Amino acid sequence: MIRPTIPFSGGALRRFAYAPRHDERQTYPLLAHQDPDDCVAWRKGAAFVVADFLGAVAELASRLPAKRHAVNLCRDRYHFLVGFAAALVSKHVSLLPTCRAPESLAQLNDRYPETYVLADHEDVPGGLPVCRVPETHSRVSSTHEIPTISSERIAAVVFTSGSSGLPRAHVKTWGSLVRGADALARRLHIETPMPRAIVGTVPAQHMYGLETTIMLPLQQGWCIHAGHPILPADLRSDLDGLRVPAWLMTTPVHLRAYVSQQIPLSKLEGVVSATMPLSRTLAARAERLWGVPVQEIYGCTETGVIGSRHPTGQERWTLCRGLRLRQDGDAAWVSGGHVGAPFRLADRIAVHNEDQFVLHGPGYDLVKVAGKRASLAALNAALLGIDGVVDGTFYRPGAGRTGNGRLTAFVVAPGLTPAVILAALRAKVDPVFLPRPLHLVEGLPRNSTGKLPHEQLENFAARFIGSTRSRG
Amino acid sequence: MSHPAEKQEVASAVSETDIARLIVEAVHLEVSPPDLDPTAPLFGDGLGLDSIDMLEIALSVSKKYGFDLRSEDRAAFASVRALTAHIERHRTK
Repeated sequence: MIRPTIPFSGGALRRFAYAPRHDERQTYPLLAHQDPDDCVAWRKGAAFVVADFLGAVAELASRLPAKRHAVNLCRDRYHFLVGFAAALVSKHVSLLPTCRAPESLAQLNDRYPETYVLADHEDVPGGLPVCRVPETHSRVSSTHEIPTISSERIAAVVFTSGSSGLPRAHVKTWGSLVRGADALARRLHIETPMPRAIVGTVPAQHMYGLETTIMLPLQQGWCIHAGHPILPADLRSDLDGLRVPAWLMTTPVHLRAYVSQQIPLSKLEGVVSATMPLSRTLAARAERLWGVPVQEIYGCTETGVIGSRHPTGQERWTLCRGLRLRQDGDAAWVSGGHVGAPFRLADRIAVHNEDQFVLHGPGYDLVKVAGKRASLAALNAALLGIDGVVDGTFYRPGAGRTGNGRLTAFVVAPGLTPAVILAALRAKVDPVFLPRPLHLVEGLPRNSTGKLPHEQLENFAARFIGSTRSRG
Repeated sequence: MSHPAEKQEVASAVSETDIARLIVEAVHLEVSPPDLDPTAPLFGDGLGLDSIDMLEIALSVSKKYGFDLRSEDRAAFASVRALTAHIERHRTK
């Protein structure tokens, strides 16, 4: 056979010599840890090494129900990981709901055939078969072979709140998750292979938590901290108990609490914040307090991470490697890399050049609370649909204010109490969006055409907000 | 020998209404503190608070009563009554 001569270019050689692990490949290994004794997870003084982990995954996989969809409700991050991996190697799809309410699980059961729950606690609503992820696993096999998974395999389905009330599902292939983790590591500039732990204050079921506290350490060969510390005292003692430097994956709400209490965090090497805008002031205070960089990442459930910045030094965001951002009037579309087909972002974005952009905040209709999103129009429709509510609007306090990002609402409802209105709303919307507080008013500053101009609403709201928001 | 300030501190025990007020103010609840059922579960189906509320409550408790709540004190977060008793036992101010 005569082979054609292939010109040997310098570019081709460089690409070959570099051989990036995570360019588009057919399969990716379950984890990047090299040695059977490398630490995969850490819980209160106990290390779970690669051999423990693979044994636990094989043991759980051997007794998973003969079904297809695993709702992973595990609270402990190592249990979540064992459940996620056991489902993955068994070709089951992990369903990751952000809401654990019985109705949400019932909806999943109706929507996905052959569903079961993976749990590590008793607090599981009835109605679905439960497979328990045990506290500790005995090793059932001595194999140390790391499974490889097809990049096309559907690993997980994550959810956003849909405007119709039914959560919208977003499918994540194993390849997109691995490539996203690789893009994230490159953006955060923490690629060096030293032992390192990842601690998170966000649940693994949330896309940001899945990317930063599960996929990133799994694909970088780092150690996953099994806990889910939220309170300042918990975070402090959890970090004290680690043997290696740690990155903290958190949100501005949590960060504000830790900084305001001035908690010392030993072993801390860096902080990553996402889910809502991080003020430069808070980022600077955190960097002064702990002497480590605070990075901010931008992304959404549909796409995963899109870019990052160092908020004390940069206003512009840098796009993840492999992604493309295209401006089309007011809309911005992201595509390529771990994102794939073009996706229209809900935020207002100005593309600066091919790898930098400026984020101008959420589109007017989009509200984000505690990492969940909703449409302002849909929330207002739910409010106006309540018997006895004559007029009303949800209101998002301005970005310049500190606070935890909760919404408030102004409601005209003669004869109703806030408690009654809240009870009616609770049945229709996710509790994180319930107004805190809800102001009963005599009327809204609508103009002659019945519209509620933004500026009028801001001035109107200022009269209420200034007097009630005392927290800093 | 007793110090007047100490005497006063011992006298002002933490009441359930104090803690109900702390919670209502920390998380902007739409109830007046005396109307808060002291036995109702704070999280889940009761008042429907979430983990961000738990963080806010822990910050307020730390500021006002001088000690840190931990998640292992889970029982303390069961209700206003449980939290009041826990604070009374652990307060440093």
